[in-house]
Amino acid sequence: MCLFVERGDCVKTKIRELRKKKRITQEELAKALRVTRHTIMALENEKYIASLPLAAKISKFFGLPIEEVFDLSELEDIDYEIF
Amino acid sequence: MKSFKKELQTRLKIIICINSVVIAFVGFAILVYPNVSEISVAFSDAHSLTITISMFAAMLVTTVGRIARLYRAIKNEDTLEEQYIKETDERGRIIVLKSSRACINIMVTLLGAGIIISFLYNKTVFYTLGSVLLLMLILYIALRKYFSNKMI
Repeated sequence: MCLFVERGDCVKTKIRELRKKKRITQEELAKALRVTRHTIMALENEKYIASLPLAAKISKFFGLPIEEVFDLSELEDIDYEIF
Repeated sequence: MKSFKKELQTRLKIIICINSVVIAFVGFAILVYPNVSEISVAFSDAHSLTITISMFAAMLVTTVGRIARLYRAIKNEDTLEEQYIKETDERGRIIVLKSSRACINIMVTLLGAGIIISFLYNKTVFYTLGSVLLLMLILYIALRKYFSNKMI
């Protein structure tokens, strides 16, 4: 069970994949993003969903748009028709 | 990082000021009343005096440790960075928030149970626990209103 993920929400990330491609350790990525290594670990294991500023920082670090780092397709569906 | 360093410097100054006042106050009290048991009836037995002195000593040691940590962070860039990450890491903040919320929920439940049990045995305890619960409720409503207005 994801401790910091709300029920029904699931965000898959490609952080581990991208980090390995860049050949950097979790510690180095954490230092660059100014977060703890545990946060990187939790993000990679999909136990924690990053806030918007952190997600932007991560995607900026890898030079990719947010939707390429975080897969938002499995988020709980919203009934857009009511809007 | 510069603003964080400034914040730490301000924090250090405040801690030193408050603790100087506390130490001066305690020192003055000891000078005026060398026999501490005369200060208050609360210190009438040696046991409560020992507890008070131990608590004061523990507070002093903790404060000295905090001052040393802040001083090290201000002087050393690496320690400053470490401190910054430790204080601003969003997952860490959420952990603190979630554990505080869980702790409060458990405390309120236990308090409620205590109120029910004490109603049967001791009216003084019942009123004390009841006022604590009421105060917590008032605080909760006030803080909730404050934060919901702040986030509009």
